[in-house]
Amino acid sequence: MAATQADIVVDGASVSYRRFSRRRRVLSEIDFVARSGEITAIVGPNGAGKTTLFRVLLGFLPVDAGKCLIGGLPPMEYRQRKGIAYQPETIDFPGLWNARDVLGRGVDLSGISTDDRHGAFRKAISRTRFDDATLLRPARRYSKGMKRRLSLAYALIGEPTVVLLDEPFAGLDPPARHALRAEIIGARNRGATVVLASHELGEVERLANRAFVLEDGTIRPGPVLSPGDAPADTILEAEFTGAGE
Amino acid sequence: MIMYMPLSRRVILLVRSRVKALTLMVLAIGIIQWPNLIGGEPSLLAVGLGDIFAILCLALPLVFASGIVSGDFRRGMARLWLQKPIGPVHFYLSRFLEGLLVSLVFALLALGATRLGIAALGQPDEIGRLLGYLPYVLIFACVVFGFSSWISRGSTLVAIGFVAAGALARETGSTHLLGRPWNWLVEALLVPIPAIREFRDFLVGGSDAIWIPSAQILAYSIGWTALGALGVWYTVNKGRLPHAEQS
Repeated sequence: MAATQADIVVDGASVSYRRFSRRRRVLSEIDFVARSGEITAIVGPNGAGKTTLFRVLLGFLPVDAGKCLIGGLPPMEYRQRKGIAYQPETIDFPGLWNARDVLGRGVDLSGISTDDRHGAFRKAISRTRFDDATLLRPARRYSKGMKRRLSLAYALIGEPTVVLLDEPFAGLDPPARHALRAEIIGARNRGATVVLASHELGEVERLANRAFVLEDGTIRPGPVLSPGDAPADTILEAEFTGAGE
Repeated sequence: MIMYMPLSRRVILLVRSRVKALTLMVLAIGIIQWPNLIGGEPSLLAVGLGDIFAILCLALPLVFASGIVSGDFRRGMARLWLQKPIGPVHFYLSRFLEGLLVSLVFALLALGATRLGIAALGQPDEIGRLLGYLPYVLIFACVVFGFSSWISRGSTLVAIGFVAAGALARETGSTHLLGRPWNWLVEALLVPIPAIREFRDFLVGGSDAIWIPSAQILAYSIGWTALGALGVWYTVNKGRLPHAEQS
């Protein structure tokens, strides 16, 4: 299948953290493909390299060997041209900025035409589901779940075609989970390439079209879930715990 | 370009978030200068007010331009801003220019207040001498930006140390200690205090030279800004960002 506009292709990518002359390899010969209009999940234990993989996909960390392309472009170039929605696992917001300031800045930076700015801003505000008083409180004082809602609303401004979510369900209550699922499915339905890293196997099985297991900096060959697989509660758990080997 | 979040709102946020530092700085300068300000001759008081303005010119960039890059890198906020379709250098240069603009506006407000104070004391207006301190705002802001993009923690302190060491080296005439091959480099790196003095001399009517010192001041500022821009580019595009976040 030919690569479409926002397909992610990672082929034999190895990544190291370098500190002066020291080099520590954190990802080894990673192979995976994430398609437009699909949700791809990366599951794996803590320290497996999921966040590092997202840094590579964002273009903040170059690969030592192999290749990583988004829509046929290096991630850095793709990000600077089209933007990549990214919700990190933890997030901080500047000084006394409230949600409106953060989202207003997001609208400024998203390259949205002047006519569409107000609509994009209103949509981002509604995505947070904050009341008026909360919108005006400094974002730094929000709870973890509220910060995550704000960072997701910020990331989705401009409806980017690549969406990366790092542990998106962590710290969310049931209504927030429900809303997040709707956002993820909405992004998929508009043709975005969605990649999510999660420990929450139930959520992964419910949402993902394909899933890969990342362990010790390496992705196990082949997806453990593929399009067309019947949902099976045990597949991922078995792979995750090693019982599937 | 029309901004959804207007420049004025961003500037207000920048000022509000630094209000504590600004208040502490004004208090510190007041305490330091207090002996000169009480019970002195009007002429001495006027000199004291001018000195306070000079110190403000040195300190304002430290309040408004420090940590613009390093703070974002360290707290992981670079990932927030730079996921959008923007160039990192363009983004951080515009943030720096906002900080520089706010520093210059505060310096001009302080200049007005100083002139009013001197006029109230019945002393002659020293607008030339006071304007001669403004290049410090530009130069310090650029040096702080330059260090901020390369050093994630303590960049402001390093910038202060660098400027202080440079001033000391020039005052003690020890800029040539490294020997001939390095003299040009030392001269190029250290804050161009002689050029700033020449610039001030021109403003008070003691010199005809304005273009050469102005060009030196501008070149030095542009050089440090370019170094800062290079630091942003290297950090974001060459894999230094994760280290900056962890430091």
